[in-house]
Amino acid sequence: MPIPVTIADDSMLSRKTIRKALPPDWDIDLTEACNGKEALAAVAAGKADVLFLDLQMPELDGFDVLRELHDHHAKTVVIVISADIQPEAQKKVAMLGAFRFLQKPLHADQLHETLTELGLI
Amino acid sequence: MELAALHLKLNDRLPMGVCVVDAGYNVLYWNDFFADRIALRSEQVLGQSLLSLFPAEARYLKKKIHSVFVLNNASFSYWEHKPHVFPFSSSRPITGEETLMYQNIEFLPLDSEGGTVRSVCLLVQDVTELASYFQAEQQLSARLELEHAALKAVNEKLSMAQNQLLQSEKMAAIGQLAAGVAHEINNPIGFISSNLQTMQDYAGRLLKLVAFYEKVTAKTGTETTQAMQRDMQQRMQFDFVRHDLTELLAESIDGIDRVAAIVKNLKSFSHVDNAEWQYASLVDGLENTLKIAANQLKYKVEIHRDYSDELPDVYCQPMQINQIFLNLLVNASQAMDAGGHLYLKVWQLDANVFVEVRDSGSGIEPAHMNRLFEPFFTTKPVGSGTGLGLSLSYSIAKKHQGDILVHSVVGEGSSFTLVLPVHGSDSPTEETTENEFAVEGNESS
Amino acid sequence: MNTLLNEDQRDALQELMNISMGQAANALARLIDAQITLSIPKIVVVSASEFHAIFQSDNYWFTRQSFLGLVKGEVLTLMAKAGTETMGGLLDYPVPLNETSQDELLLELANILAGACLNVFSSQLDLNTKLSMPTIFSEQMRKAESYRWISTLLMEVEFQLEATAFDSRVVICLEGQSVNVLIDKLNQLLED
Repeated sequence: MPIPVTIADDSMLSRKTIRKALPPDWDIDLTEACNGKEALAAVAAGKADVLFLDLQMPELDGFDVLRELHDHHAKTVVIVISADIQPEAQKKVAMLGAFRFLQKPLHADQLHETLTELGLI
Repeated sequence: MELAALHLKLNDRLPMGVCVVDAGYNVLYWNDFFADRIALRSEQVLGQSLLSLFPAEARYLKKKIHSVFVLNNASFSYWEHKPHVFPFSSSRPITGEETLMYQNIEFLPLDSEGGTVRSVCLLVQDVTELASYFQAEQQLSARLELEHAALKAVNEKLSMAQNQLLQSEKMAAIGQLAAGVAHEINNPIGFISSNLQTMQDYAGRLLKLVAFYEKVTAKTGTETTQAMQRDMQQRMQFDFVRHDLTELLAESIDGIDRVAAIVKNLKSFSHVDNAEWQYASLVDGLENTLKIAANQLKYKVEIHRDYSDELPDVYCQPMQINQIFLNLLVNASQAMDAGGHLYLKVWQLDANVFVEVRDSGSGIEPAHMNRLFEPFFTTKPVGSGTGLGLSLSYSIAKKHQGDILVHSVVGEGSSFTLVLPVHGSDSPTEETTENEFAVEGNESS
Repeated sequence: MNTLLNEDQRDALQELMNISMGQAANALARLIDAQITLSIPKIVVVSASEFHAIFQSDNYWFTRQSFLGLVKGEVLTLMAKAGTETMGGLLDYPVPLNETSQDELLLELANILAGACLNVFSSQLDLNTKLSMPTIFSEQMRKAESYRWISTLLMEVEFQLEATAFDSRVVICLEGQSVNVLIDKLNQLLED
């Protein structure tokens, strides 16, 4: 059974970078979302057991998505991938229940390491 | 030769300092720019802490280098803020004024791996010439600014002086007009005064005559004639006329005497009368001038006179000496806005007569003392003083071979003493023109 | 000229600037232990007179620095006058600032923000740029007509220090030919 994975980022380049950094042999069912609303819709549709989440997005931003998931006790594994890497943002994300925080620019080996740590690959 | 060796040779020929340190601030390399100035070759300092090699600026160096390691971003040091980070001497020991080298320093992350900086390179540029050029430029522009300000002040002074001259000329014209008028009305005043006195005499006689007729009528007249006289006197209000006539005449004579006195003062003061050299009493001159200045001094100043007996007349141009007195009196009065005491003292010593005008006023600031006699120097508000009074007084005194002495204590008062030789100079200086003195004669009146 | 970039190129450039801004903000935030609010990067083509107008503001201090590499240009940093004292205090400068220490502060701030921005931007595209030291820049005296160029690509990010008046804008400007190099690099990034 492929794992349902969603990448939520408003930037096309960023989504592409994440997509390319994923382990090539990882058996997944990939969905892409351009904003927070689409990300929540993907979760609701069961397409996001794993969610790669950007923080700065139109409509609903990453923090809003995390809050929503947190409030509804969603079981989604959220990995934040953000350009804003200030200590304050990292702290806030952790408090809202994200599993990991990765900085942009994203390095493939860091992503692999994280996925391994979380037992996803 | 190997390329690496060539690189090292090249480094040593660079006109800038190159120094590489590791994360512990230890020197990994420096080029001859450093070696020539510290007398330690690169091999000798290998592994030594840069901070202990340059203890004076260790804190600053540490802060700068540390930030490069932490932020993985270049840092800079500017000569304007930190001119001599390294204690290198000037590169211009002969031709330069400066003793220490002015430096710009770049701190660059040289070698990093995975975002971690491993070594930092310091590039030291000698900007001494640039700095001294820049500083000279700044000094020059500061000096230019000062000169500009000075010029501006001179300009303002000149335009003020021009206004004052115009004012002075106007005053001179008015003075001449006044003197001319005084001269013209002197004659009519003369005959009015003499006629009034004659009329006073005639009126006396007429009244006596009337009194005699009254007596005669009373003794020899009939009831009828006596009644007619009483009736006539009543109709003419003769009792009132008899008294009032005397009083009116007395008042008129008093009035015309006062007019005559004013004209006399004006005449004795103005130069219409006497610009020529003559022997004159300085006390008379001072008293005449006091009358002119009376309305300036009146009510607020108490005058104390101390004149020696038997003072000789002094050979002078009396009108001009009066001008000096007027300036001194007006200045004294202006120094005593709230009232005070004016001391006038005249005495003789050897061949000189001294006239001192002393006030209990505000005194003169020491800074102003040596500028007092400068033309256009004034401490009075714009418009109330021309700044010409004392300078002209001084030039008059000098033309009389005399002098004006000043003594002043701030808060206690000032004293000006005019010194004149009794017999003037043996060879009087060239005659001054009427016009020149017309300006002086009226500038403070 | 606003169609200089297609949608994908613009998206990519914006994301690269986002990342650069994030790194710069992080550097400053850690240094002063405060939070920086980030803006959405602005990417526009401006004319010389539009560019000139930026520097007529009395509310900002300006610095400039040059960069060289595969692309050439200049980075300008605008710093709000209103927040200078606050920033000086946070960076351990003796306040009130005097003229010298204020210049020193502005140059240090510009170096941190512009340096991080440009370095991160350049390394993502392998542009190998080297940035010169910043200098205080006063544009008020110049006339817009005196520029030697017609228009330039301008990339701007804005940093605001939370709860203070401090605000800074870093503006990266590319010289004419460099825009083509940049577009080539963006295309490579988008293609592979």
